[in-house]
Amino acid sequence: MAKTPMAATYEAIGAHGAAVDPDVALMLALARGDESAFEELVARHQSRIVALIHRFVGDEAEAEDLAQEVFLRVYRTRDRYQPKARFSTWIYRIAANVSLNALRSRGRRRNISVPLSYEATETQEGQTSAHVEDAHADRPGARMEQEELRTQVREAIDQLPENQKVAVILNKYENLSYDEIGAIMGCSVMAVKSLLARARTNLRERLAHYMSTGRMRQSLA
Amino acid sequence: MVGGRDFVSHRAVTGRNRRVTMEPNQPMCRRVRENLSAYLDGELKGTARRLIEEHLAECAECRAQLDELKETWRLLDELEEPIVHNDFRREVLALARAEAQAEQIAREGGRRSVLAGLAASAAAAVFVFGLYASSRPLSDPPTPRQREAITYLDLLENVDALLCLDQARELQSLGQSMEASPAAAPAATATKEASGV
Ligand SMILES: [Zn+2]
Repeated sequence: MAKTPMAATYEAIGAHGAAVDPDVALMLALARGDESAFEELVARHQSRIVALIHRFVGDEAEAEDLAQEVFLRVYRTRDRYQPKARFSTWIYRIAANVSLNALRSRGRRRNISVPLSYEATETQEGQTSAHVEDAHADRPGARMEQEELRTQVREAIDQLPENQKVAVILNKYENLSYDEIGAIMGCSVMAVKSLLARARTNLRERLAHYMSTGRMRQSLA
Repeated sequence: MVGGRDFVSHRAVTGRNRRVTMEPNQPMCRRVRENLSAYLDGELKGTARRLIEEHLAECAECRAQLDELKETWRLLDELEEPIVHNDFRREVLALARAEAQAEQIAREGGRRSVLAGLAASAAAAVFVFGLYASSRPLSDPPTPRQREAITYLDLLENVDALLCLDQARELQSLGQSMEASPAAAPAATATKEASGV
């Protein structure tokens, strides 16, 4: 896991920004009216952004639609763009916001049919715990098919509180350092540390049934 | 990077996330477990890292916890990676051009031109839908979201509740053992995307 070190804040990187960050140079070129710079930005980032959003929403077509929205937001800022952060930090932030907005509106649409909402996960820990135990109780002990495991992983991530979800996706799948995640989320390294520790605890509980080490530990106790 | 001082002074969290099954016996176990996640991420250096490693060498329970966390993380590899649609870039560029064109026309004149701009925008949207129709299966018509994205692009710009808002709420629940940085304060939520974080 090679994590790229990066300053949490890029205060006034200004003219140096273009030299430091090729994407910033492209944004500045776009600001000068060079439309091909935008095409290059899209080409450089489309795979990562679509993949990132897909981690959040779990649907390929929706991920592409939302990724288009992300790039259009980038495009729309071309006249007033101020390089104050790495381009990747900025576009990740937009992508996370767009993804969370999509999930929130999805949550609103499903509000009545989903008994365990995000709020319940956050505020009613006992209920969440009971929910997890129920899930364990009716599982057969047999090894799960990969597709079912995938669904369970998907659900385990979906059920994380928003902030933990963002931190996990950026850390696990984008391989970003706490410093970078803090810059994207607008929070401290210590807060990122705490988010990821709690996310791991939550994920472990929800996926406990699929772990060989979990059984090993129980037999030790 | 999470410093050694933090680890040493980190107070035991009597948090609601704790389960009976993982309740550590020793105060040292408790502190180590709170830091296993950062340890796995390579975010602990120096003294903190050394203390963790020394404890892991002599505590089977904490080693088991570490293995579980590692395996949990490995399970997340199960999620599939999407393949980006061939026409993705073409569609984004078409949308961007349509928008730029509409803006241009709107800038050039008064109300009449704005209306012309909207007409151009609508025409461009029809063109983009043409792209969709030709590049996607016929059974897969544009979703309401696609339509929304094309028609209400500007409206969507300002509806973000930035992550920091949740962060403020999150921090309230962290208790006194956590450091809250000024960057996480609600004031930071005013930061606009357009200014680059
Ligand atoms: Zn121990």
